[in-house]
Amino acid sequence: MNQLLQVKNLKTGFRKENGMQNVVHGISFHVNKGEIVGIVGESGCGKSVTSLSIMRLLHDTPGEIVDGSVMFKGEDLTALSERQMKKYRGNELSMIFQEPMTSLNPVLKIGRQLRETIQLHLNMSKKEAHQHAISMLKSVGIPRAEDVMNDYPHQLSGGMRQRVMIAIAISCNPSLLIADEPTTALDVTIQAQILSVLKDVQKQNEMGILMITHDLGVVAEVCDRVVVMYAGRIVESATVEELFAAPKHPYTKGLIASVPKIGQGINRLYSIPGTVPSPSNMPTGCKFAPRCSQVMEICKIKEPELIQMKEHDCRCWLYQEKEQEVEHIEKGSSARG
Amino acid sequence: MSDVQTEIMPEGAVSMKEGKLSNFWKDFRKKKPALISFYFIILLFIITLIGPYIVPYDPAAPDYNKVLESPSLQHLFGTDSFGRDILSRLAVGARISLTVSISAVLLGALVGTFLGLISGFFGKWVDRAIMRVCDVLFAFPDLILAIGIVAILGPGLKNVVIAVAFFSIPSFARIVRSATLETKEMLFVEATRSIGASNKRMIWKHIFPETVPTIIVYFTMKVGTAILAAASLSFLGLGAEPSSPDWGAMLSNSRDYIDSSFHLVFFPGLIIFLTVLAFNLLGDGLRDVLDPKTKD
Amino acid sequence: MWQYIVKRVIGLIPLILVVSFVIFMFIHLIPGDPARLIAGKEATIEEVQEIRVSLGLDKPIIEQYFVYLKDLLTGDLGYSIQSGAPVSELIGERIMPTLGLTFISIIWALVVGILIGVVSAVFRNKWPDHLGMVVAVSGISLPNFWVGLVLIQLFSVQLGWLPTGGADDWKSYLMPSFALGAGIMAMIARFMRSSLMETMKQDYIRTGRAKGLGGNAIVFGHALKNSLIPVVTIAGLQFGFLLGGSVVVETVFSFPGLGRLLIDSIQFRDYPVVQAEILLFSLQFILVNLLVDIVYSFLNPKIRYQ
Repeated sequence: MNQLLQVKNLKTGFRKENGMQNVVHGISFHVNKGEIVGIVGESGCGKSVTSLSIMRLLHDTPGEIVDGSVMFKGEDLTALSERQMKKYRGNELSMIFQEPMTSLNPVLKIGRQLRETIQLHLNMSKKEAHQHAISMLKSVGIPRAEDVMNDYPHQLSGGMRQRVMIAIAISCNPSLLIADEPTTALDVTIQAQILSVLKDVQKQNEMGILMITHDLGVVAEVCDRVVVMYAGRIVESATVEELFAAPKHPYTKGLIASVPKIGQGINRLYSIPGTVPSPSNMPTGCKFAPRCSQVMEICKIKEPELIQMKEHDCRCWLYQEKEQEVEHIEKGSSARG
Repeated sequence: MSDVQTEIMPEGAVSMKEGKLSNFWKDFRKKKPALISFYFIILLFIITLIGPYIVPYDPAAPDYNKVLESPSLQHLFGTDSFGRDILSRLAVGARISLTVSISAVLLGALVGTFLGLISGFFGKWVDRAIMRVCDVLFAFPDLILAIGIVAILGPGLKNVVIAVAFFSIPSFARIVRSATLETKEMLFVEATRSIGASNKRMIWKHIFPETVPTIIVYFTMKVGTAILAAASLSFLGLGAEPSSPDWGAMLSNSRDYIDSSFHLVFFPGLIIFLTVLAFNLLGDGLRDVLDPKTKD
Repeated sequence: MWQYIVKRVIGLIPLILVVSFVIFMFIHLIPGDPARLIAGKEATIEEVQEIRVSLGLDKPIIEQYFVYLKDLLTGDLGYSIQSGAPVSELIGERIMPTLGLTFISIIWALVVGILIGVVSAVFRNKWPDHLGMVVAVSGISLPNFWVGLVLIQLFSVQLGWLPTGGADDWKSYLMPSFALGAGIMAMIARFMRSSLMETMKQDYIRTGRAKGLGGNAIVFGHALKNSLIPVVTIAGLQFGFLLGGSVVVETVFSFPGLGRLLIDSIQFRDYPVVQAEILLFSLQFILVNLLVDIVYSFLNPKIRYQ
């Protein structure tokens, strides 16, 4: 089996005073071995909740997995006990976060924070773990790694801290790394460095990476396939080449149009009108309808299904129209108008 | 962008304005300990008002046939060394303890709020001067400062009020100052300023109302502290006259009888504890509802 | 690090000067003639005049203050009206029991308060938390003199296990330090709980979980040290509460310390002793807060490495 991670019909909700409110509405996707898959969407689309659901890290949030399964190397992570799950985290399955400034413990030395994971999962002595930690820091391109082991996080720059986070995440040679907006908080030049570090370690270790981002530039640079999310649903998924060459969903088209390109006049940068609807205030039909430039009557009434078209899935009435018409004709109805 | 916001905003804004008090009550009612404390304090206030008229015995009249009696049906909390009914004395003493502590905190809050407002509003040297004075006051432990003031002014309830008010000033000044700074940053004050409102108007119409919830919460908690401080001073013989039914003074007098008549010590202390507890729990509840940002 | 400490100490000098000036003014703020106050009511006009000259009370206030400061630095705190003994001697006799009492009180209050706070935060909204917070809010509301009297009733009068007062052996420290520390213990417990709960929301805690760490490793390995930082500051501020409380508790237990001396001196209008005592309490408070700042900088590497 080639599939490393297979998420099936995942539903995650937030506990509210009046019951559960779904934030992720039954999404399915997979990551193959050694593949980099991007999840793209605006903030609030449920992409981070998805990543936390896979890691089962919803403890400190009001969130909870309601339904669905997360198959990782043939094991359903949602069915594991917390004790079993702990053995996966930081080991086979690891994660890095958006804020390198706050993701490291400010009162502990870098060395301690690295060794901790290594000793926990790799059954090494303190000395071995120390050596392993230094080699990890070197592998993510940190100069004078021995000294950095004795530094506190505030003594390092943002880019260096994110490298440390990557070093911690890959220290136990994971098969899958989830990177939640790993470059968002960094300067542009540092972003590029971090992405190339990620690509390097991915190649060396043949890891799969699930890259959570709002930035299509990042997707274009590193990903093999991409999943576009909107309002807790997958609206489109395709290979990166296909998605940029022939985007189908109006939302994806809007996202691509809003990425600045070299040579293009910067004064006319496109942006999608409106904002993501809040979970308590969802439109009934297609969730993107209120912001869509190609909106039709049916979009406001009924939500389209995610239909599969040769490695390119899309959730939009524009592409379901034809099938519908066929259906109508077959039934001898002429109701469309 | 604005579509979604204009859809949600008016709804929230209206309910805020229309039913601020009923909303507050709805939230507050869920805080059970605070609610019970609130009723207990109301009861204490009623006793303060009508206590002297309903108590079963004259709290000041000695009865030498009934000296140091243990609690019984006639005297629920027993009698003291002069045969006076403890329950009646506690009921009448509520007026002294509550008046002293509340007026002390009120005085401290008035001065402190004023200093905090002008300190936060004007900034610069005004702020620095006021805050330095507060630093000096903070350098004295609360009760030591109060004892020192009473040592200068002489014992007595009036001086206890002044002493307790004095150590409340800097903490009110600081808390109101930070609330003022926060409000000042808010946009609408900038807007008012550009219209050309006077400083006085700005402070009273725009900034002060925003700091009121913080002040109410802090006031409630400080009353608890003040009751303890006033009782401590009376206990040390620096406050109320030993013969008065002040709760602290009653405890102070009864120390000599601890071997034989523990009820003399027990009931006055219990009522102080319950009253302070009620103000603290009420303060906690009010904070959760009115001012959720600030913590302990 | 050393630079930081030196900076903090130098920063305190103006405060100490102002505080000492306020306390120096103490005797001049009392209504009436200071020389008459010190000489006593029965003294003749000549005697009062003699005292005025010998204490320098006829000189300008500022000059008197500088003399006062010079005396302070040489350890001369004046003479007691009541006994005529040097004030420094009187204080010297009483200072050790009080220091011992406050030290024991703050130590047990810190240990128990932090423990209750941690347990409450870990079991938030479950019964240990509710129990812990009932203990805490009660502790804040309890009058320490009443706690002392109830303890005497229970352990001395009823059970006869502990002495009702004095400072003769370790047993006589048990009840006073309990009564004195209870309030601070409660405040520390409440603060520790909210501080730890706040720390548990931080990003690096999530990182710890993502590493596969368990609950205990997260709380004790990652969260505790961070959440102690603000608690240390609060403990320092609450130390004033302890100093004030010691006056009351020492009175309850007839404990031969500075607090009792203060109350006795006020009753005898022994102003030089009162003045020296208030200065001592304030200096103690200022020094403890300096100490807290230093501990704080040790706990917080950001300050330590500046």
